[in-house]
Amino acid sequence: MPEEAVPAGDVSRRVGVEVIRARGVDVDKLIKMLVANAAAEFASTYYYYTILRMNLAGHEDYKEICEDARLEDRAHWELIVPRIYELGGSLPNDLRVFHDQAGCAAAKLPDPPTAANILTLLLESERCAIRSWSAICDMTFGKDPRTYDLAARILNEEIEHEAWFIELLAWERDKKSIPSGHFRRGEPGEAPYSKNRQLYNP
Amino acid sequence: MRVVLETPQGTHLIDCREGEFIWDAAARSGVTLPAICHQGRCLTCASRLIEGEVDQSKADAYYPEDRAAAFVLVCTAVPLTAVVLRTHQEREMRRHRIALGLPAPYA
Repeated sequence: MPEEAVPAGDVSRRVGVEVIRARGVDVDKLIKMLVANAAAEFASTYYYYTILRMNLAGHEDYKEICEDARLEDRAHWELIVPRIYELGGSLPNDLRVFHDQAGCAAAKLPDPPTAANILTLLLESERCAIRSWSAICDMTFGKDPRTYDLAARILNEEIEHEAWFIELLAWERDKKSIPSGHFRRGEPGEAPYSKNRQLYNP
Repeated sequence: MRVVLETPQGTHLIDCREGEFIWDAAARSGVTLPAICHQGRCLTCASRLIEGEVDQSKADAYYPEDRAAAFVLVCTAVPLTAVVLRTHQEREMRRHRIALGLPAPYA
């Protein structure tokens, strides 16, 4: 598909959008998927992980890892929202509408809130995030390098989060050692991939 | 349990083990169906129930209106009887949800 010409001085359209549309990206669908993923980072995980972290009393090690994942999910939200607007999209004005558009289930406190149940929930939340960001990478690979770069940064961290929760759950529930292969973050929520090149991501 | 999947690429007959999700049984049989969340939420795996009955209680978000319209989220659906399903109904299920004012992720 040829790129649609954007006349000089026209502020109603964006060359940054037309070039990726010309390369085969369904921009409207991409925006919807980014909004759903942003909702999952902010509403299904960051918010609910706060509650999960509060309920890991007596497990300081798990609390610290949950805190890393919580803050890094917030970093993912901060990283991807500007891209939604750059593409011509926007966030719903109503937080409830936004919450309902999330592509992943809300990580609500399990009953009973045992460490094993919380870690299981965290693990499955990370797995949904891996699938969701992989879908964005698939849509944009070789066509939209900017969205791909942002999604891949987030995906890198989601994959690390899954590895952490496999390690912790395997030990807590099964008394098995399945190393994540990672060392601890330098400080909580360090987000080495999604914050090392900031796109308004303090 | 016998499951017939009517896909755009043709019809597949698969066997679903007790308690197994239809999507998992399809994958085990070499039939890859669409899915993203695997939580019964994002609607990517939506199918239409042509015959039979499924248990959809493991889905994160599934409404009586979805059941009434014969939509199924196969990533979290367990067949209760032999079933026939038309797969790749993502767009149709989103339209159905939007028309009823129900959550429609990715829409």
